[in-house]
Amino acid sequence: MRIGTVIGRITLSARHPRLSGERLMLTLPWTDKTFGDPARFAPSIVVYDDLGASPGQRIAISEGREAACPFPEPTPVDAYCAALIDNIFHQPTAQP
Amino acid sequence: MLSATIQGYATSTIKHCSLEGWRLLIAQPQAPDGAPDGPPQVVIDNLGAGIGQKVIISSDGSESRKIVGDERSPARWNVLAIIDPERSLAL
Repeated sequence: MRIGTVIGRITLSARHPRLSGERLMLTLPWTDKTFGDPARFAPSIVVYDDLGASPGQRIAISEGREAACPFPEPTPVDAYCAALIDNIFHQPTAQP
Repeated sequence: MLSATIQGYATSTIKHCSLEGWRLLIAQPQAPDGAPDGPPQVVIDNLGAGIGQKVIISSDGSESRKIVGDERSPARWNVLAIIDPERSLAL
C-alpha cells in the first residue's frame, strides 16, 4: 500500500452503477523522496474512500486487484483507502 | 517479490477492519546497490521484522488475505522473508 496525502474531493454526475454512494478523494502518492522533501509527490490519483479521509490527511492506498476486494460485488475501483495514518516513524539510516 | 529495507512504521486507528492489530511497516524497495527502487510501501508483517532490516516483500494479495484471514481485505504487500545480514566470507 502506498502512502498518500489527500488534497481534495471529487464528485461525479454520471457514474458506473456500482459506484453510487461513492466518496472519491484526490490524493498525491508519496515517492521515496517525499520523506526528505515534502513537496515532491508522484502524479495524483483518485482513491475510493470509506473511512472519511479529509484533505491533508495521510492515508494508505491499496492498489490493483486488492482495491476491489472490500466490495460485496465486483466494482471498478483500483485505488482504495485502506487506513488513515495517524503518524509515521521514519528512520532510513537505522541499523538492525 | 522485491528486496527492501524496513525504514519505519505507520500507526493507524481508523483502518479497514481486516488490518486491525497488524504491524504496518514502511518498506523501501531497494536495488542491490541500495538505491531506492520504487515508492515506499506500507506492508503487513507477521515475521517481526525490525527497522533497518533487509526483507523480501511480496505483492501476492491472496497470500495477504490468508495472513489476515479476511477474504475481502485490501492488504496486498506482506513481508515474505527476512534477509540475513551480509557476512564477508573471509576464507
